Amino acid sequence: MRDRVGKSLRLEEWARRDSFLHRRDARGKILSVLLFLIAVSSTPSSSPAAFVPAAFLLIFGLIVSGLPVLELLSRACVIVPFSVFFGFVSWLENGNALFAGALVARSYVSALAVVLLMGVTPLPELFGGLRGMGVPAVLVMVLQSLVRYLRVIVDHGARMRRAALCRDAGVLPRRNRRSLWRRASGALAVLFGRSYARAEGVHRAMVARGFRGDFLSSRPTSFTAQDWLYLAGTGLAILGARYLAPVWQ
Amino acid sequence: MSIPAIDVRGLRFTYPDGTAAVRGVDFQLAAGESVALLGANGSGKTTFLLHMAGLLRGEGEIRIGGVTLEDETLSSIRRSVGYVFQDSDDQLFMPTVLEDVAFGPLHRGVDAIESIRRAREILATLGISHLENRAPYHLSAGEKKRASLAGVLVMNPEVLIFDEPTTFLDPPGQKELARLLIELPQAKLIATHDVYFAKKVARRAVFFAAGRIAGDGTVEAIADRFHWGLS
Repeated sequence: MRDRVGKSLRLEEWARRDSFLHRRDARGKILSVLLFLIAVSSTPSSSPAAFVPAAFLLIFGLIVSGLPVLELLSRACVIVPFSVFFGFVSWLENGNALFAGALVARSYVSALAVVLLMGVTPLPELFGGLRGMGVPAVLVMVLQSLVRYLRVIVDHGARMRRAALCRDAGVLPRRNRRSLWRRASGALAVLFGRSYARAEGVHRAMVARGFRGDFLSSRPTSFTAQDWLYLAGTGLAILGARYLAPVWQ
Repeated sequence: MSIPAIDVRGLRFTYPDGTAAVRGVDFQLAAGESVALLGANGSGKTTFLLHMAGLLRGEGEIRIGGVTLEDETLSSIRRSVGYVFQDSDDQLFMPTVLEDVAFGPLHRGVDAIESIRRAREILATLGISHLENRAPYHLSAGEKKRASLAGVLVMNPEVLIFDEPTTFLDPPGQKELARLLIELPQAKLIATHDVYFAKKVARRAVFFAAGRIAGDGTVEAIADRFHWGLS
């Protein structure tokens, strides 16, 4: 849990670095990722090789961002267990291993694109970008609250785990799984109770400082000529990768 | 006679679980005055303070700077009351210190550039400009407390409320906080268990017991009367 907290915070720290991609307006980055996702999902594929051009494009993006490439690649692996499961089901159904592999590759490059977006865009800017693109305020608000409260829960979980480890010292018999699960479910209930109390505290602090249901960003946004160039360039590159896919496979 | 910064008459509040936390409190805080709220855990201090910023609503009358606290005035009253919470982690919820400090002005209609300018100014005043791009969860307890204070002072409130401000602070941090509070011109209401700290930052103290004010006087007199740590 502690590692997970560290990882999630690291992504936020990466988002505050400086690079050509970091400096781009959030709306341009969101649009290019949407275009990428549409291109990837519409790629006709009978083999994972169809996604090689898209992967090359993402790796180029990772290098330009100046972020640790291997860490980002491993972060995107979060999707793999799910896609492997669906790939396996698909393989059982039609016996085509290449098609199943293409399913896994498609979901992996999609996840990598989203991870890259998160790694080069601070959350307030990302939410501001969504608002700027006309996403309903209520939806953005729900997303923001979700992120904030997830952070609260993860933070509390890490503290409780630390407290439990201090008293447990890892000497409890592993074979007593039933007792372990019983304690874990109790701890989960406490975790949600405490997270609720903390969330209430955070909400009070926000209300006391003028919050009235709408997060505002203190970063002035402007869509510059460079953003237009970035959007046009990535658009062309994504379309190129999309039309190269059948040739590649 | 000047208008009191806070004027409370017959305040009562019962939590939904039936706990009567405040049971008829009358209290006045003069403009520019500092008062320490002493009392045991669960005596009603925090519940009382939450009412001053309209974060809880009980029975009775609360006037802040002569304005009665009600739905129509809630927004303007929150502008004039700055609340520093006990746990700085509750208060620092934005990704960087600068954004957190700018949150208040921004959400009170000040534009983004001016909010950032004001935030930078107050960070410089409190001597923590070097923290502006740091994530709040990376700060020490003392730095968090200063950042929380900056987030409140940036709104230039007329009344400052502190709930257990010395929690998590080491003795040098407490000393530094006391120095800061003494320099602030606003009326201050400071809930604390630390009577030494109370003595440094306030002359007057009120003692809470079972949701009522059981005593009102100088910090020394209250500490003596309720055996609260000075002897």
